[in-house]
Amino acid sequence: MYESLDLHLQSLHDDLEDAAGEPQKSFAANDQRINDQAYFVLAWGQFEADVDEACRDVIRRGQTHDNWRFRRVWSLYDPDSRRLGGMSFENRLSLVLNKESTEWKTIMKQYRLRNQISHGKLLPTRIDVVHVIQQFLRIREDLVRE
Amino acid sequence: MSASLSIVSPERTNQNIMKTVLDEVTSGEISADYIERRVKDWENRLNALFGSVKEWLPDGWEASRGASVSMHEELMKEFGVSAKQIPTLKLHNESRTSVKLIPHALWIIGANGRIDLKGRKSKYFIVDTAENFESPKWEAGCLERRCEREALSPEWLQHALE
Repeated sequence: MYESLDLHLQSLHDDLEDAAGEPQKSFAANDQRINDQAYFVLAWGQFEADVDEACRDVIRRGQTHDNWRFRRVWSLYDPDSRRLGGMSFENRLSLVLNKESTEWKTIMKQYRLRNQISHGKLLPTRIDVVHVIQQFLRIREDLVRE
Repeated sequence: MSASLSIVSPERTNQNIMKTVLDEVTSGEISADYIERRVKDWENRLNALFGSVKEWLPDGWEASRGASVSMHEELMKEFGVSAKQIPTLKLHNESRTSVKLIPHALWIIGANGRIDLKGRKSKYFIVDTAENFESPKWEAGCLERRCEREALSPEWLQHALE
């Protein structure tokens, strides 16, 4: 869906490049930028849901540990609550991904962008949405669920 | 302490920190001067790429400089950097078929610049996957199947020109 929409906008951009001036071309480029950012936020939502699921697995596993000294910490969390007891995204991510890793740092930077877009301030750049989704899929495989 | 220790300039430090476009847009440390250097670096990479493409052309194809295009991306506007004319490349064969290589954008989260290749059958893209100010690592693919990209090579170019 993203690719076909972007390709359509690209054709519009190319036609304007041949026939029209800079303002029209810039208008088409802006549409591509908005399309990128809409799909980025959509993909982000899916990635955040994956992080939440991984956190729930970690919490449930901890709550069933044989040793109470280990179990007691996890009993503070409710894995069935929608927002995991209001835990920040940074903490949820840190629960399932090494905070020292490049991946963690990349995701937190993207989180800032996601917040910026969601709060109405578009980014001044395009996003390679396919590349970012592939990155999300790779990182999803690295989430530690135990 | 050794007297040979060099002082790292702020510009160089920025380059080290801002390895990707993602770093740039989240650092809050870029300046008009930095943007201008990035544009200059882009122009250099484009000229080098077009030079390689000319050498890789299959028999019967020729290259000529296309009309330059205006580059004035949002980051340039934000920092008051003027529009810049950047090169394009036109490829044509004996049967008068022509294909254009046109820079699409420099600042893309996930790539260090993209060039579009408008072929006869499909539209293609070429992206630099290297970090900022590093030697380019060009990858290419078809815009309709962006997951499938490969290293830019004479073989890929030949396929795109078919």
